[in-house]
Amino acid sequence: MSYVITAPCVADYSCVEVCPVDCISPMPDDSGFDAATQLYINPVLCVDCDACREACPVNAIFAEDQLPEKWLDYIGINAAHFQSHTQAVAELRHDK
Amino acid sequence: MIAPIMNNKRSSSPRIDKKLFCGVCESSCGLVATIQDDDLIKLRPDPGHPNSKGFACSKGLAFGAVRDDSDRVLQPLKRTDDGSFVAVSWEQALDEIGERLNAIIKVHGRESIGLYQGNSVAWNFGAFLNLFGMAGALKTKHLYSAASIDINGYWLVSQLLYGSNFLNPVPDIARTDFMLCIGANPAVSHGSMANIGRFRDTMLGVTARGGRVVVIDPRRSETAELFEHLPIRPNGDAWLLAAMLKVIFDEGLADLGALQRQTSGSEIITDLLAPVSLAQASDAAGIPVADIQQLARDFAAAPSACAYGRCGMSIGPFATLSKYLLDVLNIATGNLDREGGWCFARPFIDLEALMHQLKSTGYDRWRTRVDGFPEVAGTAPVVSIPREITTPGKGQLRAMMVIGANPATSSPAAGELRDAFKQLDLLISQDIYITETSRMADYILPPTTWLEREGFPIFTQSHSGVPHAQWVGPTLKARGDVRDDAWIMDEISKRIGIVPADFPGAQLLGKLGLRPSPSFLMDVGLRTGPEGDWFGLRPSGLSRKKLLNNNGAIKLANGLPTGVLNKRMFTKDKKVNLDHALFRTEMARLLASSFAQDENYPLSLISQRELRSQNTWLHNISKLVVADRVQRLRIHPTDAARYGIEEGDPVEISSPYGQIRVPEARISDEMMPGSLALPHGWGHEGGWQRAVAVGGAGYNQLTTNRADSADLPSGNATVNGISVRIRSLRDVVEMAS
Repeated sequence: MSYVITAPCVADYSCVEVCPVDCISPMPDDSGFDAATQLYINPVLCVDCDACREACPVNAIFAEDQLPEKWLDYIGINAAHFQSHTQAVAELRHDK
Repeated sequence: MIAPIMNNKRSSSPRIDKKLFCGVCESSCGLVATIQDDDLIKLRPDPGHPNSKGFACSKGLAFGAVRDDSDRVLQPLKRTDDGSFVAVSWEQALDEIGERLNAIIKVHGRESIGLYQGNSVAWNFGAFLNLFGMAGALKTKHLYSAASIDINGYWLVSQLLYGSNFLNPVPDIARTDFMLCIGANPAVSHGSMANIGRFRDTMLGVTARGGRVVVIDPRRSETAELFEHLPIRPNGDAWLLAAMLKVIFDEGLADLGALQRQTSGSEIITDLLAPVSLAQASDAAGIPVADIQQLARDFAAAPSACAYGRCGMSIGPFATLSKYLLDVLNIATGNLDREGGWCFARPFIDLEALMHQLKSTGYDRWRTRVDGFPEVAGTAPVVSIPREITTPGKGQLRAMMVIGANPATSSPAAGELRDAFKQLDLLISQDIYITETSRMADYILPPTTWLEREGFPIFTQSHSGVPHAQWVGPTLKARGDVRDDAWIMDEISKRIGIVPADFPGAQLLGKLGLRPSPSFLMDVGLRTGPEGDWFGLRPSGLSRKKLLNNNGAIKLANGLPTGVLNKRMFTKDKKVNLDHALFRTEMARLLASSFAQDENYPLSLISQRELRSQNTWLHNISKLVVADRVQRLRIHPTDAARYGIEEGDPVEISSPYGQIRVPEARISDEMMPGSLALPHGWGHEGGWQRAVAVGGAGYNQLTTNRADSADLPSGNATVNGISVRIRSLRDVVEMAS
């Protein structure tokens, strides 16, 4: 299981500050951070500690099994963020 | 990574939740502050707020850090001969200021005293009233507002069309079928001149209902990413709007019945459009003719539609004409004052009527001394300040009070303003930081923040998508020895023998020792207004006391009212007055203007607002200025290749007026080829350490304050679409290292 960031996210990154495994992206020093209007949790790295859910000022984070139905698609949206990122990095390396 | 330390102090005092609204941006989101003793434990969005419904963004939620900032000025400061500051008592500072002002007035007259208001005053009703009141009592024409680097054209158009500077229609996004969003990025800004709660979500609601949102912007902005995007050349907005109207009228798509019913002087439209050529407009806007035609047809055919525009079209050389054409587009398609269209909001304090009664609204009742700009809502434009200081003669600007503003960075040709400020006999800054502006001041008088003073959303209540009422007392105790801006201004006024009020009899009352406070005056305005309790005659109505006792905002209606045009117009015939010679002149000026790019400066630069930035006061807290954040110039890959720019390169930007070095280039097809975007609000100086440490360069070193470069009818500065050239500094930097 993992935690999932949903539509109300305002990229406040209180969650990033408390995440013990740095699994929330983009991080403040990533180049994409200054334009990211939402953050994402990497489902592979998440350790289900619940710290981010508590820290979120806008109640945008849920445990996967607690997700309101209207935001079920955010499981895929969170995961996809990292897949596309991994893919992009791989392509970049391939190019070089 | 540092985990936030949330007050570990043990305290037996109970924690209490107080509801308030955010004073950072025009969203004015409802907030809940959790307080223990004098400490703010946390700020959270208020789920019960009628307009923002549980939304708030990182800026407002982090504002507690501004209040608690260790770099904040907490007592009055006086500048010494060597440029450093010493702390002085309020009494000493105010008495000395009074003496110096009186000496200046004795020689140069009251009209030599100037006032400058920053954007923060829009959430500060006491400062707002006292500022206009002081200017009125001094009979000075040196009243300047940051609005003239932002939005002056709006005030002008609303005065001419609807009869009041303050009566501005807002887009009914919650019910529209088609939203045209020109030069605005609400996903980042959360909206301006439209107090739409959950702005992004409300826009997403349009497409979820099967409607359309089309975003017009040279940059594929965070908002454009979410919807249909049509790139436009910087400052092409007036051309696009004129061309859309041309299509609508030529193809018989206009709602002539609505024009007949709601407006007078609509004949002007065909006159204005006659010389417009779609081919020329297409060239100027960089949008194919077929796309303009389709957009116009779709907009006109939508059951309801609203065209909304902001900075992209309000800080260019044809800002007034653009705003006029935007309103005409809404009106001529029958969308004025109807559901899903262009509507008049329902303020809980009818500021529009109050200002009208006080004759405080208007346009071109006088002209400025040096440049001859028409006044707009009693203000003169910021572009003229350096010349008003340096040009001798009666009415020369000799002293300035700057309230919550940082014009040494935010004004066009910022360097010239700094040089001119040095020539003043007296500069007073009401600011919470030692900024590049306040550090030039003779006195820095530190005000309270919105967390520490009484307030109601005086400005944004006039634009609320969900009409509501809220009036809150100070949420937290003021830190240090800081005072409300309104108090500071009143104390200075006392020492120069005026009452900071401009209503008939105010000065006489002052002689009798009566100085009605801004909150008293606004309470009278509320209680005698449309939502008021009429001093008990209507017990269900509102009063200041009733609102202060209510923890949270009170909803007045579910959405924007419609069918209220006749009641809201301040024009004599109660119709929208479309025909003014000014617009004919402006259209001729547009058609005669050149939009070809200068070969020495082949690129067009626009300013960009960043997600966690809004004006000066958010630039010093680590929560909002994070990590190794740098200023990045956005450039299209084609342009990057042509000018030898690589990702991450430091870049030199030159305009006819100045040159800056930007730390990093970001190559991205989010930009339209030929245009560049640079975030503003960088390159700070002074005593606020984080803001200074992040470096960057001031956008306004590239802009000009030349009078003929401004939007001529409104005097609004042109800060978008600056002609520039660029070169990479990669080799220079490598050689140096």
